[in-house]
Amino acid sequence: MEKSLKRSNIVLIVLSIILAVALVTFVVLYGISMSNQNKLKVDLENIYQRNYSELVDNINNSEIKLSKVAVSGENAYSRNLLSEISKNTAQATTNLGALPISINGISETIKFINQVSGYTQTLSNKLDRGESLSQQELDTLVELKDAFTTLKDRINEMSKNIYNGKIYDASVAFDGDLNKFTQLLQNLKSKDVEYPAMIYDGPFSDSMVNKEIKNLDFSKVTSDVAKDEVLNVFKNVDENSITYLGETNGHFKTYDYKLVTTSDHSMYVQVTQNGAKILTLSVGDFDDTQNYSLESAIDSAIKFTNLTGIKDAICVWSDVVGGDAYINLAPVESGVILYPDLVKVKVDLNSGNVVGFEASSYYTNHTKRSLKTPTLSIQNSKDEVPSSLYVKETRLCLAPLEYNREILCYENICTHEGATYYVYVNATDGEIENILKVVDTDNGNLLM
Amino acid sequence: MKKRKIFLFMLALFAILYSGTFVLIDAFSSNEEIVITASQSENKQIQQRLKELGYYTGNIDGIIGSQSLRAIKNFQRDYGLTVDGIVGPKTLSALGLSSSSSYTSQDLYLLAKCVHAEARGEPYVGQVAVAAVILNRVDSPEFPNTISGVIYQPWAFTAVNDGQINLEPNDSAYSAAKDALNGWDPTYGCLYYYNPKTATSEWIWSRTPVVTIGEHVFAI
Repeated sequence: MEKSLKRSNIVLIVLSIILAVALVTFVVLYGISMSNQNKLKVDLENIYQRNYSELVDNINNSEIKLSKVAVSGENAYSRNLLSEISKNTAQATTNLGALPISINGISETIKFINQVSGYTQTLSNKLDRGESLSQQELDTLVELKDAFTTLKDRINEMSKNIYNGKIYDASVAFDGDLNKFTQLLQNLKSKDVEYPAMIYDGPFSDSMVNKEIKNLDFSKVTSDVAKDEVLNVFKNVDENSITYLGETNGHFKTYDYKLVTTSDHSMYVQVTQNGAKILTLSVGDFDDTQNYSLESAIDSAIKFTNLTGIKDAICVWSDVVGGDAYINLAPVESGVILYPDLVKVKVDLNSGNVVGFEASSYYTNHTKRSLKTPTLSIQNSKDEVPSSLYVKETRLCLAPLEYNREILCYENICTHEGATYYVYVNATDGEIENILKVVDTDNGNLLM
Repeated sequence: MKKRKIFLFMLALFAILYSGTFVLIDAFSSNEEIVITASQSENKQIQQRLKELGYYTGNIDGIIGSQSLRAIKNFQRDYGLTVDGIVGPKTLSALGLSSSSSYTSQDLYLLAKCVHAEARGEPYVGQVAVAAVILNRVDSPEFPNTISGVIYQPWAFTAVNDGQINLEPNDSAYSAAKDALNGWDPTYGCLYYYNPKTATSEWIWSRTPVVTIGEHVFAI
């Protein structure tokens, strides 16, 4: 009896020791786990704090430079200042983008800072071209300076509060849809102050967001008329396999249909409500087999585009990726390729069918233009191309080189050390407007 | 009897702590050795190249063990790559091998990852639309100005938040991303989308809806 009692005591003691060891191990590992978590939190907080500090610096620098621009007149110094303001404000939006701001919380302020970046860059380019700033532009710069002074004061005031607290903690505490950090940032914008409007054609300008649609001046049709147009273009589709999906009421207004082809492919087609024009076609097709040549694909692309009512378009760019051919078509007027009016077509090389179509640029830009006669000859244009490049082909085109600006150019297709370059020479003054390089990637050729 | 109870109690406690300890040990060891490669034959190629370059002395067996991992990390260190033991496209290309899933264009890859994470299971055109929304945000003054800036904007996309962004995109996501980069935008400028069945945010309902594709409402 006594012996067995003793044995059970020993077992108990041994178990207690094992338990104690396990307990200590558990506590130690738990401690490590918690300290790892804290370390990650500190790392994240540091990233937030760094971005916040940079944001404050960039706002302060922009404000100082805007004050300087307001007093320094039009000269090379101003041009540099404007360019620097553009960089500072662009960096400020990058900083804002890296901070834990609830989406849509301070979009007005972000938009304002981004537009200041685009506006100052546009003015800097203008001075660079030897043009002068209008009175309205000078007035806007003064207004921007005032708005930035308020912004700077607010953000410096806010910093005092933020550095006491932690951005991470403020970002995980929510009040409705917005976190506490976003609510703090909302104080940057006074409720009684409107941000000054900037009128310009450049990055982030309002005129870029909603470009006027020039080529859909037709009367509105019913969805039945639009469906008839679908049947007219897609000849291999049975009427019963067309499903009306509804309307798209965005910048373009369309009727949307789902089509099932005889080969059981599902297609999505958008037809404009004005004039019943096929605007886009999307088909998910991921077969890598190639039964058709690129040439026959280009033929199909042109035929399809003609069927939709877009005539006189030629192939200006083509590329094969996987089992698909990507083909860009552009209309030609008096021998000039109209690049702003590009139509993009995708052809499946397995079936030879058109599996993608996109004509929104065409309907946005295609209009009767009064094209200038080039003052530069083809030979003169070739002379402007850097001598290191060998010119293979030259053609006249209208190039959308800058925001809403169309320039008559000679497009020189050149080669250098096995690479292809496109050099655009202004057909009026011989200036090089742009150089594009064809970058051969595994995902096809890209123009950069 | 009492002792027996104490004994059983301690045994139970011991069992709980013991298993808990292992869960924790698991959590620590799980994140250290990750090797992403496509196949055993690709692994063999990697081992072969590492051996030729003098980083690896083991067998060419296609199995990435600790020796191979050490070789990869040493190679990455010497070649100025991120030392993570992960054979990504950069490491493959530094080894002179091309990745079987080719993505030299970082933007296309990132866009495809986001489309796959956010919209797999949606109709193809819905995937193009999601990619187009991301590109519309890049152009919009209200959002960051690069594809990575938009995708990694904190809390902008649920699938980025919960880590699904790290899944490998499929062909459909790639194709949709490429179409969007090529100018396809079935939403004509939308900046938002939401699933009306699951959206919890209140302000999203205040956006103007433009089109419904699959489960998503696209809005400006």
